[in-house]
Amino acid sequence: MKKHKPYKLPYKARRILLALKNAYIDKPDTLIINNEDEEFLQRCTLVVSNFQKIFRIGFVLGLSVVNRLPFFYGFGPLRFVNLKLSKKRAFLEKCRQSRFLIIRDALTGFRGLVMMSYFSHQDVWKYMDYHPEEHAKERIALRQKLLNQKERGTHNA
Amino acid sequence: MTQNEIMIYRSEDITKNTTVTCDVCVIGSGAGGAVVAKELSEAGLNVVMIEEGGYYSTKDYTVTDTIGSVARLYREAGASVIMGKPKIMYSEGRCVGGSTVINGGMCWRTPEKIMKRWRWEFGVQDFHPQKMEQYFKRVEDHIHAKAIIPEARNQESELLKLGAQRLGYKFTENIRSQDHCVGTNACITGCPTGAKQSTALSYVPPFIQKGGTLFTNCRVDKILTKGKRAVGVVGHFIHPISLKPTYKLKVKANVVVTSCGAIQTPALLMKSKIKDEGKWLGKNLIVHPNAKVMGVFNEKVNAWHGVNQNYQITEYFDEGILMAVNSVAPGIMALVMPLEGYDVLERMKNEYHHITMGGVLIEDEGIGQVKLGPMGSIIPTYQLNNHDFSKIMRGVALLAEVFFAAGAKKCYLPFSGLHEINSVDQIPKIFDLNLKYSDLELLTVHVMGTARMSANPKRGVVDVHGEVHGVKGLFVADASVFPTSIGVNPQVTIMALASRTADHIASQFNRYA
Repeated sequence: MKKHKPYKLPYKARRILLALKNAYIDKPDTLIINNEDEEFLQRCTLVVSNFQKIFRIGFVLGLSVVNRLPFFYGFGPLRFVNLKLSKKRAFLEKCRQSRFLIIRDALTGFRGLVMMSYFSHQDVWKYMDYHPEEHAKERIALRQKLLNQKERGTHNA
Repeated sequence: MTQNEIMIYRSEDITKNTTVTCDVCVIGSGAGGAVVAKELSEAGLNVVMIEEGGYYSTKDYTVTDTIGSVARLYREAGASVIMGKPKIMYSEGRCVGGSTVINGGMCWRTPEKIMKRWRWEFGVQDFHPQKMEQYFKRVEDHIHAKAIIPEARNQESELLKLGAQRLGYKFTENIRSQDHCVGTNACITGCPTGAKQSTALSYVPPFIQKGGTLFTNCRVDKILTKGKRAVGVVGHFIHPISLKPTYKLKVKANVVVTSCGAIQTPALLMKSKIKDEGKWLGKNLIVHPNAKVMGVFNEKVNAWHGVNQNYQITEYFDEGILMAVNSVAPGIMALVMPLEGYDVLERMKNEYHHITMGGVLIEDEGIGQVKLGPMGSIIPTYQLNNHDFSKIMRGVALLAEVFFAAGAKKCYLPFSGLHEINSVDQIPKIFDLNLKYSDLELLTVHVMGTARMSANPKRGVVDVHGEVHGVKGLFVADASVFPTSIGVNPQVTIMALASRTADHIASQFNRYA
């Protein structure tokens, strides 16, 4: 089979996504997430790599615009990734209430990807007391039991 | 290696450009394609089925990797968007089994009011309950359509039922395509028990056993025509990791059936320069807009335990409003949950197990379109109308009322100007705030109507058997052929129509050979 390299998000886009993640989500000190940033970026990359080419390009360009946008909202010359946390959040709030639908929509999209990727980490699941694997194992065993009962004629579903 | 594996080709198995010849080439392996392929294979025809996504068996489905699952099983990792006001997120399957791998398996026959409309307005004369009975029964038997067993029920659905009972609303126990479903609640990331009867489990194996050939990870670029008849397709295999093209595939066939769903099918026909007299191709996009309402309860609901969607509230079905609940993994809930502020993690931790996530499905009249964009892109657009907008507002209010009646302490709403209400008395706020279309947060998993069926070539793209008007031997068998919205989950309607199309092709095959 022909060899192909998997899609990789540009370095700047990765930095902006990490900055968005850290701004959007307050993480308690007690929560330790293994390979947090690396796995987060892997998930983001996996999602973006499946986009149609034009949207993939648009996604990366959009991130770049957001990174430069604080200047136009009166946050000085610093780019988004270099703002302090409080200013990052103030900027995101301004974007959320922007009168331009395109800015609101873009931020909704970025936030969605951040949330989806962050809340798919298994350490976050443990923190939330969400254990689907145990539940699935229990249910698979239950199904096997019911199928066995059906074979013996003691379950009629 | 078993016989089944021999006839399923993955892109890894292909080492050169390939040409094959067959009687029928079916594009897509979901609710439409797999049914046509299996039935024609059983009728003794030589059938090749082509699927853009990969082939996964039950043991490949996992509950621990949400993103990996959506990337493997969904088009654009489930992040597709229909442009318009508001933008609507939509999902469709891209794997062997198509959207039947990632749906909830709801089985509804086409409502009689819809059948009558299709007969009267679009001349689909045999789309009558009695005439369609054989097809409905055939597919329902094959996918084990029945109510779930008591062991699989979950608290989330029981709360929906409780709310409906307290308000005196009608509800139905859902019929689902499942065999001993025990409620792992992982329907949307592939059933890890093998209970859900997606076409990958129910239709593809008998298709292969009858000698059918399945090419996976292969995208069809164009339908080949000669004069006014279809003669095959060309496409390319896709590297499963990079998604880049590898080798080419050419299939020469007497009949071509497209079953790629209501976004991809019209796009493929347009790319193939198929002309339709009435200029309906790609138009008439219908989406069943779905608005999410989340009820937060004091007690733990643990919605991820047991089957979601046990019941649907049908009280307002005649008005085109259907309500149900549907739990999802935290990654997907966080995506659609309207949480503001930065304590999202703590709120998810505190509320995830207490939430009932409901959806309002609307039988829509709004119309969209599928267009070809730059760089080979496909761009769907949709415009909500006032009537549907009002229906969505009303549906959201009614579902919030159901959750409050069941004991919810607050509800999250899908409006960017009003994300939370704390009692039933606050429901009027929904109507007082003068919300706009762009304030709505909608999604859909039912896209339909873009190659609509009509006996009259000026009013539709395909005839009453699914054959494209003016192109002999080219058929459509998926939700694209629906002339109107149907207001219920479309899986069984797609399958029954596909089964009917397969019967027609088998009986008339001499015309095409």
